Amino acid sequence: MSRQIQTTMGVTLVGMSTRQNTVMQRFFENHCNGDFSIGSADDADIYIIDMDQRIGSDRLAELEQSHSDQPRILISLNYAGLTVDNEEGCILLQKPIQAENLHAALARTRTIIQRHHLTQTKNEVPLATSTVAHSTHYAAETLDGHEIHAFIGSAPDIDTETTQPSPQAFFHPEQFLVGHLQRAIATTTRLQRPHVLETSRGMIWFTPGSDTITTTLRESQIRTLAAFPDIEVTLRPYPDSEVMPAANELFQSHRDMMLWKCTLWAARGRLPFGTNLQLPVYLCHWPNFTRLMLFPYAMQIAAIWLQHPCPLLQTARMLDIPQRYVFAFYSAANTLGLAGISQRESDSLFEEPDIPESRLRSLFIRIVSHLRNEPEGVRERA
Amino acid sequence: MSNHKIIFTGPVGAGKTTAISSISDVPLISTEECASDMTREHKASTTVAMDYGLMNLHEGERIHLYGTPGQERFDFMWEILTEGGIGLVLLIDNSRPEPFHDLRFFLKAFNYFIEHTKIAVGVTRMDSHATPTINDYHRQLYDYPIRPPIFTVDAREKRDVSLLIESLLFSIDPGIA
Repeated sequence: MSRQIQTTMGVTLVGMSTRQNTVMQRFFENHCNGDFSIGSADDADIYIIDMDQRIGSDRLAELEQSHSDQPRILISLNYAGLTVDNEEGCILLQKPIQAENLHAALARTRTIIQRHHLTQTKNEVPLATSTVAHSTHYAAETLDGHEIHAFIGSAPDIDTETTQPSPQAFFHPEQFLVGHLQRAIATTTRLQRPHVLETSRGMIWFTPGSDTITTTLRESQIRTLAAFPDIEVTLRPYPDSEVMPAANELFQSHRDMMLWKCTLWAARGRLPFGTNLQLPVYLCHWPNFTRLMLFPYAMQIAAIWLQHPCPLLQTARMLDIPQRYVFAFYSAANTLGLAGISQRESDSLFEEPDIPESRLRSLFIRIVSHLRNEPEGVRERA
Repeated sequence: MSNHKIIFTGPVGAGKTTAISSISDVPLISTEECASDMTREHKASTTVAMDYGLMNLHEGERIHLYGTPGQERFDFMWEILTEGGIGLVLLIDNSRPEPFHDLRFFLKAFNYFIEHTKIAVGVTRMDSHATPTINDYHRQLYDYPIRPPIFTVDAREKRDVSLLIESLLFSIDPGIA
């Protein structure tokens, strides 16, 4: 998914005295509602440069070489009021700075950045994610209660004593959109030619060697297609001569994110047909959780499977969580090629060890709660 | 009142300062100076001693966030900073010429600490430098005895940095409920 404008913009101050820095710090902390904050130079969105200091003019010259597209606010006794040079992305402010002028200058820099962003990313329109509370290309998506149900379902636990689990605990990925996506990716890679998957609601393009999938489908449409089996699709090569729709009709997504989500929508807390519930599950490595749909208990499950392969039902027992979360995670990780059923006899010879408990467990719980802005000591279970 | 710490390390410009700023509850204390050596080609200023941030939990409990200086000539600080730490967050800049070399270097440099705690790896600047990929980093560690979390991280995003720390803690204790 494409990057959205940062909610908080980083500001770097150049050529200012300690006192000036302190005053500016207070201004940003108390008068900007979190829209701007002073940060390090290497990741600044905006520079505020005191041009009455030698270092200021030196630094401006460097920026015009290395970061010519980043807006600069230049302050000096010699400027008159507030002036904007659209061509250079420079905003001139006269000293002493009036708070309203600085506010206006900062608002102007945000406009410059947005305009530059739109120019750069006109072909990278985010998948619509109206159901997700916070979603950018650069942050993991997390789910609220309603959304959890959509992805994980609400199936009750299966009887752990039975040797023949109900067929309702399983699904056939190859019958769903996720199966079609996997075949399209495999075909595109094998033949080293672009392909397009045509569905009843839109098209999905695949390019060899690329992790990006382009589509005319909005996320709500993908979800509808992904959730039901036996959809009609056609996979065909996409020649260079064929013209793609206009850029403003296209959406892009990382391949892994789309596969992950489509698996979850299809699985709804179920397992791929044929999954052996008795054998341990292995995980090759941690999924890239900051760029995938993160759901409750996913991290715990990953941590356990990486410490020791463990059967699916045992995992749910160890964590004392509904089985559908374990099944959902396995299904999604399996689609990405990260998880599978261990065939090694040694993995099932020994009784699974208990989860090692750190002496700092209670501290870790408080840290996680703090990071998630939850009331400390109160971790809600899904 | 208990005090614990998490260490951030990585090469110059990887985003350690920014990452700590993203999650610190107090303004970052950073000892920066103008870069004088080859670091200058990378950034104009650099951390010469350490970064310091803080997470304030309930009832006065604190998690100290320490960022090591990235240059090797300050490596004498690394062992001092890690003493008593909960775990290590390693940030790797994907835009550097040899990110795998950086990864192996820091894994080796902090080997003793990692053996006794855990590590989580965040790869920064993947928005502008998509390769090597996260899977490539995992392949680099096939011969290592560890399987750490390796995530794409924008050091400015609190959520990314938070998830990286969460994965570190879950690596140590999966039973965190």
